[in-house]
Amino acid sequence: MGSKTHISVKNLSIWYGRHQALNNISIDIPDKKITAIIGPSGCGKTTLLKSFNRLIDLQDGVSVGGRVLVDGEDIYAPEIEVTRLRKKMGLLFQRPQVLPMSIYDNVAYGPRIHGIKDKKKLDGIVERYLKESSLWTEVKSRLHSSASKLSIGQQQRLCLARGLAIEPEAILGDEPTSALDPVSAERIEQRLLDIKNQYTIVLVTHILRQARRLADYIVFLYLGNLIEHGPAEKIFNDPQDTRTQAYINGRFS
Amino acid sequence: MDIRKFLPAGRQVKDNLARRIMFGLCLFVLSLAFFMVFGLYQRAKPILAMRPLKDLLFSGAWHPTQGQFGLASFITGTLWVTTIAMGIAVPLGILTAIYLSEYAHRRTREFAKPLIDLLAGISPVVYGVWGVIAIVPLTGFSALTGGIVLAVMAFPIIISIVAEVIRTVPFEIREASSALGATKWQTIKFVVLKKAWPGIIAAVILGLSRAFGETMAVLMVAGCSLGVFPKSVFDPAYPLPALIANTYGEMMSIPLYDAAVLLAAFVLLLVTIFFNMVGWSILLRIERREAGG
Repeated sequence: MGSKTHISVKNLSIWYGRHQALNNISIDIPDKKITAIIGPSGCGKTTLLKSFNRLIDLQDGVSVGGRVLVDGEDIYAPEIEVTRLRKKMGLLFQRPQVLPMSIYDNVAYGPRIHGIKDKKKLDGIVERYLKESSLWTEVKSRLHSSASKLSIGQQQRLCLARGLAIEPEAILGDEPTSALDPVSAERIEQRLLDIKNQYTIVLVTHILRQARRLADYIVFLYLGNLIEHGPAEKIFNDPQDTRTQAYINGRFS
Repeated sequence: MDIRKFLPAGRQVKDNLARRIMFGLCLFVLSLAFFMVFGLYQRAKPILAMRPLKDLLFSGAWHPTQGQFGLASFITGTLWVTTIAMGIAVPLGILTAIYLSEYAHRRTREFAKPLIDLLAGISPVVYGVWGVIAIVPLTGFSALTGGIVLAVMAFPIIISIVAEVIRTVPFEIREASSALGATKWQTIKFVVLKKAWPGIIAAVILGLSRAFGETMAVLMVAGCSLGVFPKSVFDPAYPLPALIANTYGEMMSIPLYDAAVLLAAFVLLLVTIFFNMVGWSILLRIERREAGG
């Protein structure tokens, strides 16, 4: 592919208590491309995604083996400051998780906790990223009303703006369109395509057609194991493993 | 074949009877509250007819033999001890609850929870004795001492309700905040507490209602001397519940004494019912919101 690596996973294994969710995964996620992690439910897609910004740390009883390198740095090393690492990654959830505050404050939340206090600067950030997630025109007249009053689709675009406002290097999406109506889903997909030159994007998806539409690079997981990975055309047109073939042809989902 | 033939005739009757008896008992318990409010009002009515309510509530002159029944010093005493109790119990209770539900290890939480519930079940007289032995030597028989003892008694209710409410805040929203690079404390301060706010208010109100009506422990440590108006927290205070407990029974020969004390009880009951209703209705609303997704 000729692209440089942004996130490099080396022999990663993750356990929740005794249950092993990921088994010895090694992959390189290319910089400024869209990578889709696909596979049947419960195969460890979300776990892999959340290991990139160490959000799995919040779960009880997690243990991690192996390494994840972001920009060449081992993020599980003891000297890593987790909040700085997380600032490098914007995360979109399955269901939009707006914070219990106004639209403005949702977007300003990240910049504020990272120390930006200047009102003018915050105003600029809020406007810029609401525009970038194509929500600005819909909400500019009610920036200070509660974010929970927005529709689900608008909430997810707000979450995108919120994630972009911390100026991350990567955007992680955990099935970010699965709770949305088709129109809203399409708008999110379009935004992701528009910004992919600026960010490394990693998407977990169980919608194969979405992976086809968006992804440059595919990672196929099955029961916690990495089965196959490679450029999207190659995986979709010429899968090597029989399980990948079966999954892509829709024989299980 | 008719299956009803095999059902012993008595079973149907017993089933009906059981339901009716239990319904009756339930109705009886519920009606007690109404009878209490109504009964107290009836008995307090004579004094309300003879004296203006304003004098009764805002005059500090309590001379039953001369027919003066100003409740102000008792009301002030109640306000002092309750305010002090809340001033101590609210911040400590909330912070303890945050620690237990957000930071503490699961085993610590499992160990602490029954202990806190145990504190709620200890008899007030034991708190009173503890107050006399441990607190009175430091702060004397005063409103301050009463407040401190009440604070300890209001603790468990505040801690357990706040911890419960914090647990209803969805995990995903903490994840969202953490994913933006917020520290744990930032997440708690800006997101969790914001979401849990109404429940915390409810916890405070229910704690307040407990402190407000508590009798025995306060009676033992707050001083309770007649004729002293509590100007500061270091003065002895004579809160309403203590007045009622101490004077009921000695009042029969003095005209209107009986009605005055029952007026105090009436006021106490109304305020307590009000606090409880507000507190529980907030909690109920949170519960419904959570259940409704």
